[in-house]
Amino acid sequence: MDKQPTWQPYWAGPFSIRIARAGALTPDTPAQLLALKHWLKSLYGEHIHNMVAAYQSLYLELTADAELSQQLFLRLVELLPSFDGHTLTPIRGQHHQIPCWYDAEVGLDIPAILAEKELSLEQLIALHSTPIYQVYAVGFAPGFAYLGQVAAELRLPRLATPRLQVPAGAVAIAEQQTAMYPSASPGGWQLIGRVPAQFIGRHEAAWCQVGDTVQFVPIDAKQFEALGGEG
Amino acid sequence: MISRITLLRSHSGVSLQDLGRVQAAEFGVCKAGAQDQHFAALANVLLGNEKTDAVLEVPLGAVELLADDDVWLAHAGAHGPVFHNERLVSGNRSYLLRRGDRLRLGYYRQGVVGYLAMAGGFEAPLYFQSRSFSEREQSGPTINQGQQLQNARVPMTTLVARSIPYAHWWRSKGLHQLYYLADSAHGPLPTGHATEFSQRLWHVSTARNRMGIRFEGQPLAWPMAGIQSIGLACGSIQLPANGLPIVLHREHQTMGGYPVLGVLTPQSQNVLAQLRPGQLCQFHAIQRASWTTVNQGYQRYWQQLTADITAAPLD
Repeated sequence: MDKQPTWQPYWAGPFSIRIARAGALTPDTPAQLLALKHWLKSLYGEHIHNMVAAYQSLYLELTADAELSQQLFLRLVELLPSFDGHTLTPIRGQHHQIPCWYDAEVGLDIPAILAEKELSLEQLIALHSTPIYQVYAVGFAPGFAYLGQVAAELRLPRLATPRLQVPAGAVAIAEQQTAMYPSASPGGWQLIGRVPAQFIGRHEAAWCQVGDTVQFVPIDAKQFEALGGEG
Repeated sequence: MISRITLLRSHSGVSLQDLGRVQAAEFGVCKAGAQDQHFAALANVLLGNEKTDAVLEVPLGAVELLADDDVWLAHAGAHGPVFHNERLVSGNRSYLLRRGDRLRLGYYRQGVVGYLAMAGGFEAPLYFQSRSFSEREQSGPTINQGQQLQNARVPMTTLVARSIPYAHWWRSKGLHQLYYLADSAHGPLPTGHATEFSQRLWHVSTARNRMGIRFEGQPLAWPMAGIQSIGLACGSIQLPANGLPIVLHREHQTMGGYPVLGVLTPQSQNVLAQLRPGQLCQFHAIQRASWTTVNQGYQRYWQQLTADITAAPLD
């Protein structure tokens, strides 16, 4: 286990608090966040309407009561230094292999990326499909898993103007994270490929959870069609 | 008595909404809920309902209902012509419909979202403890033209017609002031961004829906860096690289990675719901202590308004 992290609360809205962890992101971080989540639920569960664990922070949406939110915030300032992040339950994750068609026909940002990074398509595919990614968070939309970490040569900023519509199954990159869009939605990540329809999941049959690992497997157009397509 | 109505004429924007889902965000499921929670609650107050009962959210108007039983309904929020059996009546009030009566909302002349409440609240299956529908996710109870709806419980028996005083109806202005909590900002933001943001005028773009509202105007400088994705609140003002703010609303994504300038107060979130494309706004940063005072003032205003509504029946 790494050195005890520092947890600190910040306001995130009228009735919302974000607890952020200092230090570098490590493979232990998801387990630490889950432990923090369970601990806070046991203490203040009746006042917490929603929680989102994301990389190195835990977001809390509280009961819509300004005075209560203020009291909880002050209580967290007192309590968090005593949070024992070492009582962690190791996460036993599943490994998922997901076929992905990398092509400019579905990866709309591929041409611009290849030009900017001075890569060939084969190099892009290798850089994206070689790593085994860890699921660091599930959010944004049902079944949307934040996977990290993307190879340094392939890290890309979000789009200046988010797209109003990204199709279901789109595979994309933003900074050090990659993801597959489980359903059509607006989105600001850079699109590099598409997952065949049958591999797209929603929360009712959640295809992954924090602590799982994922590897993308390159396929061609014919294999994409054979697996349900929808390019 | 359980009462039923049929939605004779509807459109795809009409949905059931309450305060939204609970314990759902950890699955990536959005909270949803009524866009203007002030008027959604007032529609319920007019009928003696719990203020959090599910209501029909009707963007822009243009719906018609048939009473299959004697039923009390109420309208609040965005307003235009209302017809009871094709007789023009006022909006922002409750109505007793006898079996066979029709209530029709014309297109709104002011505001965007109006609410129709039913005495006893609308019945529908629960999804994460809520009767709210998400357009983005296509989750929660659906509403379709021709569908019959009923109330969730037997309403109070002593209902009388009530109205919202005209002074408290929604009114569009030439310039709307929106307030946001500065302490909820996050990410690398340019120096002086709050001043620049507040000094500029912004207008609502046509790209607005239940997920969020994009604004147009003179772009702000961008810090040229995203942030690690974080959990987000409704009302978060995101700043993408094009320098044009996006305010997240009821069906916002649970996480995001653009810098956040701050988070709108609940009162401003409700105001934003009523703004049409092209309407002008100005944003103001507010400290939490000031907002707490404003919020207390709003609670007193709410208590007085509901007392006034309850104390003065129409007939």
